[in-house]
Amino acid sequence: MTRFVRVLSILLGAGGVFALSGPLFAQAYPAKPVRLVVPYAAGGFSDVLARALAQKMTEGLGQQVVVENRPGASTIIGADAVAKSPPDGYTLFFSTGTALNINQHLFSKLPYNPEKDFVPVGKVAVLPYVLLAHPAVPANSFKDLIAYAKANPGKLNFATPGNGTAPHLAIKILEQAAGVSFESIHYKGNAPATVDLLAGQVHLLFDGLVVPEPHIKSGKLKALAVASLKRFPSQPNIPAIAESYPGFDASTWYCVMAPAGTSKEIVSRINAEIQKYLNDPGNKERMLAQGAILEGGTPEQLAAYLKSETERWGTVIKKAGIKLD
Amino acid sequence: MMEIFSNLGLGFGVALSPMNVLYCFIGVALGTLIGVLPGIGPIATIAMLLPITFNLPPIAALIMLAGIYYGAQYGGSTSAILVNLPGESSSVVTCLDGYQMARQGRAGPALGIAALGSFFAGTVSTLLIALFAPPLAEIAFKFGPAEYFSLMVLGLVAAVVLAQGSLLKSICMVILGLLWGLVGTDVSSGTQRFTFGYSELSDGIGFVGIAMGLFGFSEIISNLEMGQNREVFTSKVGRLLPSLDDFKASWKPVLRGTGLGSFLGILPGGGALLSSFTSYMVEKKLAKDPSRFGKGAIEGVAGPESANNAGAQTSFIPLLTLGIPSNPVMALMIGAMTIQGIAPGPQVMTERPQLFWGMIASMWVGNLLLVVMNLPMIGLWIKLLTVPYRMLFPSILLFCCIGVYSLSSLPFDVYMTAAFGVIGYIFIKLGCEPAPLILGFILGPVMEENLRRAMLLSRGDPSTFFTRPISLGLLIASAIMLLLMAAPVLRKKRQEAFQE
Repeated sequence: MTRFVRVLSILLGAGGVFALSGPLFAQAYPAKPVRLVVPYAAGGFSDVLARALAQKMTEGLGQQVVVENRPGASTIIGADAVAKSPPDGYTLFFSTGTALNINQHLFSKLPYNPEKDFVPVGKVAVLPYVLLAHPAVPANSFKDLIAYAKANPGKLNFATPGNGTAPHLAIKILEQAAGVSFESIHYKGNAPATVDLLAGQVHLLFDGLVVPEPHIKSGKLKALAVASLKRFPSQPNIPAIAESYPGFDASTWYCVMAPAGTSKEIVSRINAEIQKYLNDPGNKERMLAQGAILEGGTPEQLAAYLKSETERWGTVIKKAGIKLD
Repeated sequence: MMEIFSNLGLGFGVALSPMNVLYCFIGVALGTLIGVLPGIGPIATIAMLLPITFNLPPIAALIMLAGIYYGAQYGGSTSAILVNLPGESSSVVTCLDGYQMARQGRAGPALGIAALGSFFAGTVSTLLIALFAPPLAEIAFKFGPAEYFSLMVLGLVAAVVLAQGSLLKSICMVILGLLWGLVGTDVSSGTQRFTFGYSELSDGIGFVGIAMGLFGFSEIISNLEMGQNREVFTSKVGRLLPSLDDFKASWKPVLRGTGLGSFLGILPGGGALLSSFTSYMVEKKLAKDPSRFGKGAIEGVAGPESANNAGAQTSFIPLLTLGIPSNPVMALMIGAMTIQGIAPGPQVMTERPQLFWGMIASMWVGNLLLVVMNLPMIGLWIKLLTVPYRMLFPSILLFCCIGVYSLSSLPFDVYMTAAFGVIGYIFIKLGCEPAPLILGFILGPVMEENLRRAMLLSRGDPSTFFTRPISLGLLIASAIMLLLMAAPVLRKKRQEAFQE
C-alpha cells in the first residue's frame, strides 16, 4: 500500500509544481523548480533519459526538476527557447549533437548561435548505432556488405529516420569512408523504418540496439556492425565499423547545457548532480539494457568534445552536400 | 485452443489481483478525465507519469499506462458528443452525428451506445489479440510504401463520399486539407514548405489545433451569433440510455465497426483513425436513408465508436509482437517497458507470459471498468449541458487553450487554433463541411510520403502500384467507389438532358 501512497503523492505533486513559482529573494540556488528543456517529443529515448535524470536531480537539488518537451524543427525550437532564457540556472537544456553541432551546417540561418548561446554543463550518455540488415541482403558480415555495395552501387536501400538526421549523416560518412553509395529512403522516425526493414521493403538501417535486439536474436534481422569506436559491451560479437575504417564514430549522444552567462558555481553544482545519476550502478545497467552507455565528464571536457564534433560534422555535411532550407 | 484458455486464465489471474485492478482503475479514470478535457491528450499524461512507474511492478505500470490510453479514447468521445470538441483525432467522426444527437436532446443514447459499442469492440479485439496476435502482426509487413499509398487513395475517395452536401464543395475541402497537410518539412528532401519563416510551422500544422478550431471554436462563435436566444439542448434531455429501437439500429454498425477497426488498427500510422472514418462511410453507404447522417443518426455514432476502440486495442499488436510502436503513446509504453528491464518484442510472450497475458486480460478488465464507471456518469455529463451558456463555453475555451498549449508549450499553437476557429466559422456560413478537410489533411501527407518512398524504391517505375496485389486491389476498390459516386450524377445529367 505504501507504494500506492507514494504514487498518489507524486501524482498530486506534479500539479503542485506550477504553483510554486512565487517572488524570489536572494536565496541559495536552487530556490524554485528547475526546468530541463528536452527538444524532442515525449516518448522517445531522449525523453525517457531526461526524465530519469530529472528525477535523480530532484532528489539531489531539493527542488523539482521539471522536464519540458519543446519538440519541433529538428531541435531548433527547444534550443532557441533555452538560448533566450535568463542564465540563472533555472533553465537547462537536455541536448543532442543535432542542436549543437549539426544544425548550423544544415540550415543557412538559425535563430540561436550553437557555439555562443550555451555553456556546457556535462555529458550524460551515448547511444551508439547498430548497422542492421534484412536477412535477404546477401552479406553476412560488414566486410561482405561493403564488397557487395561496391559491386552493386546504388542497389541497396538504406532507411533513415529523416533527411539530415544523425543516422542519415552516419550513412553519409559510411559512403564517404568506404567509397560506396546507397539509396537513402527517408521515414518519419525509426519506428516505421523498422517495420519496413523487418518486411524487407528496405535493406539497411542505423538504429540503437533496444528495438532491434529481439529481432537480431530471432534471426529476423542481421546486426552487421556497431558505429561506435569500440564494440558494444553487451554485444562483443558485433564488430565496430571503426575496426575497418579507423575513427568511424556515429551515435546519438546526450548532454546538459545552460544558457550562456550561467555562473560557474551553478554549472559545477548541476554537473555534480549529473555525476550522482551516472554513478548509480542501477542506472548504468538500466540504460545499457536500452542500448545506451552512460558517460560523464567535466564541463571542460564537454566543451572540447563539442568543438571537435562541430568541425567533424561540418566536413561530413559539406562533402555530402546536404542543405535543409 | 485449450492453451489459449489456460493462457487467458493466467492473464485474468494476474489482472484481477486487487492491486492490479486498482491500478487499472486509476489508469482508466485518469484517462477518461484527460480525454474529456479537450486537447489534453494521453501522450503528455503518460509522459508525466512515466517516472512514477519506475517504482511500480512492471505489470502494474503497464496496466495503468494502457488504461490511460484507452480511457482517453473513451473520454474523447464524450466531449465530441456533448460539445462538438474532438478530444482525440479518432473522435472527429463522432462529432458529426453525436453532437447532432445531443442537440436533439439525445445525448444520453449517444453516450450510451458509444460506451456499449466500445465495450463490445474492446471485448472482441481483446479476444482477437489473444488468439491471433502473431499472425496478425504479419499483416503490417504486407503493407509497404506502395500499399500505404493506395490505402490513402482509397481513404481520400472515401472522404468525398463522407460529405453531406455538394460534391464540388467536398472535393474543394479535401483539396484544401491536402494543401494544409503540405505545410512543414518535406520528409524526403528535408525542405521547409509554406512555413513562411516560422519555425513553429516546420513540423506542420498541429492536428489538435485544426480539429479544435474547425469543430469546437467555430461552433462557439456561431452560437454567439444567436445572442440570448441561443438554443438550449437541455430543454428536452430525454432518456439517458439507448432505447430498444436504438439497439436495433446499432447492432449491425457495431459489428461492422468492430471488424473494420480490428483490421485497420494493426497497421502502424493512423490505423485507428482511418477505421472510424471508414466505418462512418460504410454505414452511410449501407443506410436505407443516407440523408439522416450528419443529422443525428445513431448508426453514425455506434459504428465509428466501435471501430476506433477496436483499433485502439489492436494497435497494441505491433507493440506486443514486434516491439515497434505504431503511435507516440505506444512509444511511451516501450519506454516504460525498457525502463523496467523488459525488452519489448516477440519474446515477451514466451519469456514473460504473466506480463503478456496479464496485460491482455487487463485490457478487457479496463473496458469493463470504463462501462461500469461511465454508464452511471451519463446523467452527470448531461447535467453539464444545463450549465448556462455564458459559463460553460468560456470554460471550454479556457480548457481548449490550456490543452493546445500543453502539447508543445507554444503560444503560437493557441493563436493558430483561434485562427482556425474563425476559418471554421466562415466554413459554417458557406455551408462547407470540415470533415473531408480533416481527412485530406491527415491522409494527404501520408499519401505523399509513401508515394515518394515507393517511387524511390522502384527507382522511378510507377508500375509498382499495379503489380503488387494488395496495392492493386485497393486502387481497384477506389475506382469502383468513384464510379458508384459518379453514377447517380451521370444519371441525373442524363435525366436533365432528357427533360430538355
